[in-house]
Amino acid sequence: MNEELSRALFERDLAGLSEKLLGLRDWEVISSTYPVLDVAFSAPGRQPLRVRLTCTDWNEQPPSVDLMERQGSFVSRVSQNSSGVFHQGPHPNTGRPFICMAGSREYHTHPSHTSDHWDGYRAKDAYTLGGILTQIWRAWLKG
Amino acid sequence: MALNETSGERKVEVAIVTTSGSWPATGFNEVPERQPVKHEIEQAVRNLHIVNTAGWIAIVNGRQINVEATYLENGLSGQVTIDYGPPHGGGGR
Repeated sequence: MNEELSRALFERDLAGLSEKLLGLRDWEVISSTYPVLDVAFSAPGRQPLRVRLTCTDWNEQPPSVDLMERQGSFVSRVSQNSSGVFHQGPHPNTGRPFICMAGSREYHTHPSHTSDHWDGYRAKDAYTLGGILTQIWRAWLKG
Repeated sequence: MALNETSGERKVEVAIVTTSGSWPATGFNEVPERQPVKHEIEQAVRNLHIVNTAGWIAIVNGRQINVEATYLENGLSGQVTIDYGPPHGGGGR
């Protein structure tokens, strides 16, 4: 995919993450330099979680999603959650826990989901970068 | 909660926040407390150029509200900031 176009789409989605939204949700943007969007989630009584989206070829491809501790190390274990979004894995490509949800590159490249194509999602507003983060965040809040 | 002196109808101040921006861009819109929440959400969707909102949910102070009901019926008053967006993703099987 043309990198300039990918960068422009990245910047478009980034522009939607207003200070008002970040404050309301207690999100902290750690990095937002293309192709990486790194956001920390916090909530009372919860261990913070960093979600790092690597958006190479956005949005021809979904972002690769890394789950990280607040200080930047990879999460080694994810807790069982009713949404099923946080999967212990290990993912065959990364060897780590992963986001098992449409909109994550690890989902669409997992042998169990290769028939569920990203093309069926990419035009929907729920699958902008902010939309994908929202879906992960809500699953994280649900525990 | 504001009281409109002309009509006697109480008002709430509403802001809708999404990952595509906020409506209004700054501050709040004053709307009747007996107006269904969905009216202001529809304004936000139109003005923020959001197209597909099937299944999206509205959250206020951590509580999902009923967008078909009024602010009054949802127990909302004063300044109301609505977090509007998709629900949590579905896990693969």
